[in-house]
Amino acid sequence: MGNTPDKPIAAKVFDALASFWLSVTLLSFLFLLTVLGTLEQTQTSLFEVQRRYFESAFVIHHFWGVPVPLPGVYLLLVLLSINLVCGGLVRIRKSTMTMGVIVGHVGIIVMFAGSAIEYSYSQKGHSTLAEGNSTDEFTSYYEWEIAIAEARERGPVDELVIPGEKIMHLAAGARSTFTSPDIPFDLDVHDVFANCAPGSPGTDTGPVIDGVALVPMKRNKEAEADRAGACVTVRPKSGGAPVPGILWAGERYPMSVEIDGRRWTIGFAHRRWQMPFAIRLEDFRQALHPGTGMAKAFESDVTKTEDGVPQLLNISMNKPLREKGYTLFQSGFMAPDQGGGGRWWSTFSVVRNPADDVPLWSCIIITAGLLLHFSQKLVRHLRTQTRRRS
Amino acid sequence: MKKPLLFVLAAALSLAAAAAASFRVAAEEPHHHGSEVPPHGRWNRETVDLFALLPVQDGGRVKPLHSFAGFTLLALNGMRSVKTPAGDKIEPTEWLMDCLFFPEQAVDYDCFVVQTDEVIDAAGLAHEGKKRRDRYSYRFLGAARPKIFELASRYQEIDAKERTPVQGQLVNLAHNMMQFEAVAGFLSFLGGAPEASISPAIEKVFGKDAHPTLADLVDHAAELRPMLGAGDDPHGGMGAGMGDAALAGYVEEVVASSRGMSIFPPTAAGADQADHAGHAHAKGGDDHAEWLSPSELAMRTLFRGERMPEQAAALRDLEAMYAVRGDAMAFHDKAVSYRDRVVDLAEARGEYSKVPLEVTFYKAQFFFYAQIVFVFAFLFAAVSWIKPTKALPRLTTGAVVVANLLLIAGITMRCIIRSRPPVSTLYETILFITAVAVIVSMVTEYINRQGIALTLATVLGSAGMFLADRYEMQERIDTMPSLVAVLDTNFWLATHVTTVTIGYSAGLLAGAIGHVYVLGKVFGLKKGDTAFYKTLTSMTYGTLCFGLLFSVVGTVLGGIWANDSWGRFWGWDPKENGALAIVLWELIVLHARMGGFIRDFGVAMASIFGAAVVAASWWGVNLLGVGLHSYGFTSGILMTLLGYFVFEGLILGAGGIYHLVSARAIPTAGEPPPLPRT
Repeated sequence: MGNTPDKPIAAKVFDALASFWLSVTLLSFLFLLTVLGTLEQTQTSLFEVQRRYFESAFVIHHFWGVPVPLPGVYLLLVLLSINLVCGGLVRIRKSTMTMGVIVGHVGIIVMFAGSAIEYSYSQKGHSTLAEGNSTDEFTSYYEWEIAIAEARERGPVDELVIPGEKIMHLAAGARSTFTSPDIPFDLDVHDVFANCAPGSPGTDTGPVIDGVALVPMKRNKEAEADRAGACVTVRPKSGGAPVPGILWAGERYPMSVEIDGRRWTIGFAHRRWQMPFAIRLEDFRQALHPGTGMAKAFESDVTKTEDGVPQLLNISMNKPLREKGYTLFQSGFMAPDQGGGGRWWSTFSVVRNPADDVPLWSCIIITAGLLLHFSQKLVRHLRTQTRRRS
Repeated sequence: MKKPLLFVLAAALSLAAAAAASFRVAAEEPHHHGSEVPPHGRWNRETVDLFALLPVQDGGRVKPLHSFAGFTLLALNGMRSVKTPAGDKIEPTEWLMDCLFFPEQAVDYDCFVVQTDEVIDAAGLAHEGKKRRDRYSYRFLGAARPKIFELASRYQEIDAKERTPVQGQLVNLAHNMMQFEAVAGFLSFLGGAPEASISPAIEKVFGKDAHPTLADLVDHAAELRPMLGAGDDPHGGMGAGMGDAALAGYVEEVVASSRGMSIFPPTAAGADQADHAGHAHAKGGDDHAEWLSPSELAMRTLFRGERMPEQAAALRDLEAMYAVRGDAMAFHDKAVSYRDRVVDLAEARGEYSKVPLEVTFYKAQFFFYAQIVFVFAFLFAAVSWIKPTKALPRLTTGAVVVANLLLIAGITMRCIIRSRPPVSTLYETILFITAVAVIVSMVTEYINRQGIALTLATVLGSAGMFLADRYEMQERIDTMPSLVAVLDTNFWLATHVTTVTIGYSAGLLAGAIGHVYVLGKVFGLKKGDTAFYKTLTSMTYGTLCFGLLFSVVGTVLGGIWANDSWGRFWGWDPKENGALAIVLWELIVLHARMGGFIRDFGVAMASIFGAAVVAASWWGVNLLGVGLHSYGFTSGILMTLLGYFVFEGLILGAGGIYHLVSARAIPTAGEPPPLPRT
């Protein structure tokens, strides 16, 4: 490694961070985690595997029942980025022969940066519409929220939202209190379960409210099928008696409480986001390969309305609609006779990703770098061969 | 996956039961509707060739009857030919013609391959004189049909992964018997209405003692509809109202028996509602894109009141053909008339142009001949290593070039037939990867000129073609299938899929070179020839670099495609992870070499492991049955893949032992110091 005893600590640390030894170790762990996470998907949902293996700093993997702690991919990618910058950009010898490598490393850094932006700031969900219906919202597949609103007969409603990341860690016994000047009560949230159903009280269930408790259930292999739930206590700021309640995502109607003469609803559901435009599903079509039930294509005609201006557009497989930083993909449908209630429904995956174009740019940069580097290597090799023969 | 499959199989079983009812009668009492026909010998060549070119819509695309027959026979018999009791080996089209026009003879052909006689035991049949794996006729198996179908429907309830081999084979056998019944009973209605069907309605329209054929009924659909009880509902089907029971019974029999093949193209006027490739484009199916079987023709004319004169005329040609099936010359003349009519209809829809090319493709057998020439090339290469001469390397090179040109010609023809880039199915990955691996080997050989890469080209070419053949034989389904919606994009198939498979090719080639290095060391070949091993290392390194370039770019392009199709760049899906694993492994090898952690021997060992990673990514992840790449799922290759991993494990183990032993002895000559870091 070339380290000498009299080197300053900082230089030694830099050498370690820039070393091939660290690169190979990190890449090897990444390789291992990729393999283990892939195999784990046969047992667990992709969502759970992602959370445990690929979005974590550490993971406990059971090798034939024996728990072994391993670094998670999140931590590995952070360290690899540091290693890449230190070794692949700073310490690397700068010459025409290494230019391609440097460019390639830059491309990888750009890709990592894009991934970090996507991981931190993207919103992913879906909008499911029946023909003739419209919406300006999309709903998360996995994230949850508690929405508090005053019940009104008509007109727009302001909602107060508690995002899932603030409550989903509140396992049995843990609680958190939420307050806001806009509402006349505080809300205690406790005993949150990622997948559960109301049922008879038991040893591992939540608190009993009106004879019912939340019964935790095994997570589904398709995580979007999970139904989360939480226990809440509404504490009126005016000092009235606290009102306990159970919120469950599978419940059709929200919990309803009357505080100081005003009625409030508290709902637990998948998180929703608003788009800067509305879409209305005009027509959905599926194309089948003739004589088969195999789908060849799906497409939807939609009207996008922004600032009152309507625009007819088409969304189909491999041809999403990109608008104002949001991308809408054709991802599913429901036929009238397959649960559609007599109408065709179309599901759009909706993604808001500020780094949407980054992968393409990183791909171009990496390709250019590798092409340059390996071409130089090939030319040098050919010259050597020619010299040797002559 | 299980429930829809069960549903489809159950539906198929019930449909086939109806079709089989009429077919089995035909098999037991030949030609119950028609006149006696003399025993049939071989068809004349011209007629077979004409039939081979007839278009049929199957699996969502229009294909030649030759392809339909080939894959049907392959599914049943495990090969594309069958032996008649007279000892003649006949091709698929001729077999299908026998099934259609002389089913009472076809039932005696041993065209059902049974992998183990335990299946025959389970069916309660005696099989003296037969081998453990052997072929049986429908007549033989038909004796135990109820038992076979009863067992099959019971075993279908068991998850495919949980079935024993015998249970699985019984399910397959029942399925194959149904397929045979569908084709052998397909024209059983052509003899005309049987006596039992003659009714007041038929007498009123056709006169006393008339035996109208289906074409007669279709021609008189307008008069017959009220008598069939068909109302004004354009979507009305059988049973839409009360009518003449005998007539309805006959039509019902026709409808049940003749739905197996869609042979009549709809009139081109409807094609404007289908897209150019003839794909249905509506909410659900589309009558204008779907070709018609006689069954559907009867339904749409007699019950829905549609007028289809061209298709009715084609049906009449078919009836005329059937009527003279014992007279080869007359039959050929009628066949020409039928061919002209359906080809005109198909051409008018723009759906025939690639049919002749597909027949040429299959008859040319590019891949079969490529395999043979690759094997010869391998033999030349092997001899040249044992006894070097000047001529043999040239002969080897020539053979490799010819074999690869055959392979590329076949791939190119497939691209033209499908209007697709070279790779869109798992089968096509084998062809493409083989061709690319051979090309890269030849380029490597051109650079290094040691004969090593040339030999590897012969090995990879032979192995690739063998694998393609085995895969086709095992899957026994059309290798040019219609594609699922997400794959219907030539841009991404041409960029991501080809790029990533080129990466696979390079990874496998690097592994192959690694084998030469490690086995050479283990067996003491070219001992002391430092230059030989140095060349091998440089070849491995170059191939790994080439592979890394394509693997990285291919993997990132895959992410960009996923971002366009599914809304996320990376989802840790097994197929994505497989591609990433290849990239990571190659990065590990190259960085470990640059860091001096591995040397030449280590690079060779790592590249062998890398080839196993490629195999796991290429085939292994498809076996997991999870993730979004469900169109690539496969089964039945687990043991082969495990066998390959064990083989590579043994080589790596042998290499490891060699390395330990030689490291204890003396410093290895020819192991250069690590490269300077860049």
